[in-house]
Amino acid sequence: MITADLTQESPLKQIRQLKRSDRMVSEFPKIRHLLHQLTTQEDRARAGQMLKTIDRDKIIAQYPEVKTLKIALTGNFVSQSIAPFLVYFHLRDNILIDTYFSDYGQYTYELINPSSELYNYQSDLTICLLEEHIIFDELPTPWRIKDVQQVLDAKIEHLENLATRHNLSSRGLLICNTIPLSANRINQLIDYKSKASLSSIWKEFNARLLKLSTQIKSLIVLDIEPLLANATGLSDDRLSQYTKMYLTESLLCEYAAEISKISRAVQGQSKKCLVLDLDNTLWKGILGDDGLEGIEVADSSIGEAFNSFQRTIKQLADQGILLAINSKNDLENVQNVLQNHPKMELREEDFVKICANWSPKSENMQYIAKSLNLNLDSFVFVDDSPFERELVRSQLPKVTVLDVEEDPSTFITSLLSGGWFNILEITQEDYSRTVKYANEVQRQDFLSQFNSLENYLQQLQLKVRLFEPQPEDIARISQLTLRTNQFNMTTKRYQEAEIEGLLNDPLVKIVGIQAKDRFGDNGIVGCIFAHQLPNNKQELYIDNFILSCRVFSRGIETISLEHLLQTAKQAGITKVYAKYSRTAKNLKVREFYKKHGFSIVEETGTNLLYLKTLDDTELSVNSAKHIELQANYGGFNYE
Amino acid sequence: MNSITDLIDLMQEVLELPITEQDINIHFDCLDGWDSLHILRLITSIEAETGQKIAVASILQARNIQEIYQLVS
Repeated sequence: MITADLTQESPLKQIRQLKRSDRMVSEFPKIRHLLHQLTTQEDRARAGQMLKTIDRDKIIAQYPEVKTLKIALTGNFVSQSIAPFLVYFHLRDNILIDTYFSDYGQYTYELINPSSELYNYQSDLTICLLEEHIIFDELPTPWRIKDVQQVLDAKIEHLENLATRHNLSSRGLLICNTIPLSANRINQLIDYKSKASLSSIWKEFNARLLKLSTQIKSLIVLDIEPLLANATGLSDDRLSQYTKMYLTESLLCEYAAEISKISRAVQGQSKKCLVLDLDNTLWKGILGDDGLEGIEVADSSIGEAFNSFQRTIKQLADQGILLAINSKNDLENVQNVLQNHPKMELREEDFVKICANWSPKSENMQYIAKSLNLNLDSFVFVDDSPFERELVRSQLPKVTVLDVEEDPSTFITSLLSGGWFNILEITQEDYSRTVKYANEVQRQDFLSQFNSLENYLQQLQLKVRLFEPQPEDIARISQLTLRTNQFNMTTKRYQEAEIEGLLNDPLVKIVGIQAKDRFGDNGIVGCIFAHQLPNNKQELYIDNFILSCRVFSRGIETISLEHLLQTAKQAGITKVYAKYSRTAKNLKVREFYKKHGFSIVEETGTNLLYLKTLDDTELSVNSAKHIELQANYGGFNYE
Repeated sequence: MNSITDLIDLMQEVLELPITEQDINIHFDCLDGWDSLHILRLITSIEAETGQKIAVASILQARNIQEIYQLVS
């Protein structure tokens, strides 16, 4: 029975058969593939329910690319129905979740008490689901607008307190939502002026709630309205009344999808580069056949649709998403359009790499990834041709291939609804990323003029600054820990509030690394985390060392480490320990410390502990002669 | 929902519980792995499957599978 051809069955049935035949672990990649094919809410709920019991330990052991995440849920109503959706959306994105649910009605107690079960659980994300009973349960019957105002005022203060307490008590993020106001409440008022007044004070409350997220570092407030627009309704009268499940399963499904986007960002899985086909993807027509004059990018209803799509892409690019072209076309024709077509929104300088040729698109993708020094799982690929999509998907399963429909008016939704590029907070570095990568391509061209790497580096006029991060640098330092996967010794992710905490700890030292050269300023490209023990001034622990993939192999990593060791030695430190934790992506830096004179003193599972003794022998200092170094990060003499 | 077997099949699929015909008169409190959230999932699924609204307040009072079947058949 099981040996029957599975491919004829619906994706959900195939998953069920894999479960019944105990092949969930061995066929996990296939299950993920099938999950992507489920489109209805009911199928997603059923799949989530099925996969709740998947063998976590076996999955983690067998698939290193799978990440784990702890999610705590609380709120003012019965919300456990969100669980299967959370399982579904996270597993689809290679994230295995563990969940904790607060008891009904316990959210205040759980968030205010630092030793509550919720805090003991130590979640990465805490979700506090809120809906209107939080306000209306406190009102008298009958109520007037002024009563609502009073409760809203008290409640915003209460929520601010809870979020502040969470910020102090948890290392994770707190996620809550603006509170939707139901038609049944508005309709209890019969005159239109009063209806407007109620809506207005309600929206003011929600606006204040949203603003709290700029004030409290670890707080994310989701606007419920876009989620509600995609759901089939706010609440089901019967389930609300009889079971206190105040929001529909459909809305909880949308909510869970949004949470999984946040989880991806927390896990460093935000996509970094958007790779685009051209013909019938960025414009209407085939450039090779129709010519520059024949393609449509404006001035017709179809053309306008492509124009809107291009403007949306430009909006993403402005926020640091890299753009590349992967198209079957002649390069000169493509350059001609990018430079000379009067109606194109996207221009040559918006792209960091243009692959217009006749090679298979999967090969082009690999080439783009290599030249940008990014992993394939950082890429999103958009192509109108189902053939090309399937080719890239089957050859390079790590690339996110979007299933766009034929009609270009739907491209924008297909591109945006997955939230593939979402990050927690944008930094100055993001706004100028395209320029920096374009500089990088110039550097590579410059490199090709030299016969040796040494020769090249000498001409690069590289300047490195080691510094103590200031408050304005916190977002970028946190982002480096979240985004960097290759040169990241332990892949420990830090939210901004945690970085802030570390900077205030006298025993901890964070050294920021900034680099610039003749082609431009790279900004903050790396950082080193180190700490000392309160009662032992002779030992230093390097907890992590991170360097952006843009700037590998230029000696920046060596000069930074050497300077740190030198400074440590001057402070009387005799032993420097350094940690390395293996992940699927950081294998190439496994030997980094060894190459710099460290030796392994402890090996447990995927963790290595290195040691370098700073004895009387001379440390090598500034072996990277091509770098002009400036250092100002204080010493290690903590008091 | 033409027979109680249909309901049992649906429960197996939706709730991922090893329910059989022998369990139809067993009180939910004694049914292995059963919790109050299963009933919420089941209500939504039955309605999605049959396209008909069911009497939620009565379903919540049901003590076993047989009683649910009587309400949805």
